[in-house]
Amino acid sequence: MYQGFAYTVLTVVTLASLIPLIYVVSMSLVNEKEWIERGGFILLPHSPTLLAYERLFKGDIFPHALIVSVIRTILGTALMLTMTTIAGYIVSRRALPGRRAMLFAVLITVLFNGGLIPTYLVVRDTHLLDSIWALVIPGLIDSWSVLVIKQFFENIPSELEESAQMDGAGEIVLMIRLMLPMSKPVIAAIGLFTAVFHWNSWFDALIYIKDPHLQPLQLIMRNMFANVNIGSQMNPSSVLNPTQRVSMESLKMAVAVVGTIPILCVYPFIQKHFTKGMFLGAVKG
Amino acid sequence: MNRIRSAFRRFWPLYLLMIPIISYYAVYRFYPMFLQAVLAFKKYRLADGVWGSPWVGWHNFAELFSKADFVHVLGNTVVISLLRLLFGFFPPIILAIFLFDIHSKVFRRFTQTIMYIPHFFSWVIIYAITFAVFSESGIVNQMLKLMNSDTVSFLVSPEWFRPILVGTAIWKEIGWGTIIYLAALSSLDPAQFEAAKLDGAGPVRRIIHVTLPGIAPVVVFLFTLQIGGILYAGGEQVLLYYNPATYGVGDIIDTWIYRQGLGQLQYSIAVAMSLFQSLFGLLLVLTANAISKKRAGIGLW
Repeated sequence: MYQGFAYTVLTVVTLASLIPLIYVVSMSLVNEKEWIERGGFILLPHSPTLLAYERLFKGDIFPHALIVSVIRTILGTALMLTMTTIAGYIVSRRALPGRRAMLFAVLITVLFNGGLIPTYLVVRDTHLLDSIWALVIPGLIDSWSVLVIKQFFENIPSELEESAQMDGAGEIVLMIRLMLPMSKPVIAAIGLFTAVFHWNSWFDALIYIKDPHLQPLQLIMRNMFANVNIGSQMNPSSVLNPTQRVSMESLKMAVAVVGTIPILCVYPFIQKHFTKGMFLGAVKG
Repeated sequence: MNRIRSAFRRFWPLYLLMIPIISYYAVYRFYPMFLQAVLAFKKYRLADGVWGSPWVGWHNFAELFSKADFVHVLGNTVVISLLRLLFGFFPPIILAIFLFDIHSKVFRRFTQTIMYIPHFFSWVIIYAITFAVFSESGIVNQMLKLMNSDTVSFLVSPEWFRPILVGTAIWKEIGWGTIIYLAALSSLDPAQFEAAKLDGAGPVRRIIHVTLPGIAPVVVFLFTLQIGGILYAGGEQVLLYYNPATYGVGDIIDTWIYRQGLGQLQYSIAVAMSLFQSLFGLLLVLTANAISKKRAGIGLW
């Protein structure tokens, strides 16, 4: 009885998670004729078409935004991982004078932040507005991840470290040759989450980037929902045949699909990590 | 002296690497905190900049607290947060228990895989999905049409704003929310469950006497954190979901700060609000923690 109930509830929740996703994909694949005829309640398109995607990629705005998103994700993740790992290594060195002060500073920033406007003023005054760096530099180091990496480094047996030091390894060699390889899983996991974070971000671009050529995909998508004009340019008025036209709804859903594909691509890798429970360690930490 | 010299000889590369790290923290983390504390007590004038503007003591706070806006926005924030807590806090606990208890490993893995996905989508994508479901041409209205009833303008209706906001947020996080409880459950001693079974306890009694006490610390921990975050009602989501028709029920502290500060350049009053938000949040966490320590013997630290 109880088992049956549990299975039913879980099935309902799973379907509720899944159906809207399928619907979004299906909507992106119909032309205007089918959309009008079938009244927009389409779980499986009868005559699927990639027309909406064609329209998106033919325009100027969308491919540009895609490139900005890719650059910010790669640049942001690479820099963040480098800096955060180094910071984690530094605060894990017990013998290092000054370590406690730095650890304290990191802890403070986990608990408090400067808030929207002061941060905006600093980004403005350091001349980052309207540049890709405005999307990368403010989040250069994630203090929480610093603590997670520190925890990992500290759990590496000190005998390994001592024997490396006997062989004459300095701090840099120790970090790169010993500590990094041993904590590859955490660093990979933090990297994946950071990449997802960068790909998904739009609010920082909303406040820091006014130049339309530097706006990432998520912001363009947000503008598309807030303001109809962007999408309507994508259906040339010369095309009258409804099988060759796509509805605004289909265009919007096509953008949403393109915005999720990278997430779904890295999802299996992310999943591999959270089954190992390292995030839980982090949460409990 | 000698100790410092030998430490420096060994660690100098790390000190070198510290320079960019410390600069980053100083400029982008600590300086904004400092600016926040300063701006809240100054009357910011664009022409004079932060340092040229005059000090005004508690004036910004007095002005903030006397605004009709303040009560209104604070009310919206608290109501939306409480709705999130009321409807969003318990479902992940229940789902986690179900996931933990079901026999089929394959089914569990499949369900988890699907349920976790929305957590990784951006709020913009979630809004796109919300739009697909609730807009004039969305699934729900198409179904209403099939049943010959009137369509509802869910996305521009003040009555539907909060249910949709909170409902979609729960939809996004319900699966991911189970993960911490599942971890807590898997660290419980299986022998306890076996013993309960041998004593003839049915599934419901097992949940009440073994499962729930086992995850209670995690539940209290998360609840305390949620209480502390009550003035943070999800600015990013509201910013996407609200529109002129729903400002009245949707405007929260975070969106107010955004509009006052970056829209109307009222930096001082916006910063005062933000300082109030974070200090009050801190006070709430400390209070909630003290209460849970006293009543349940469980605390954050």
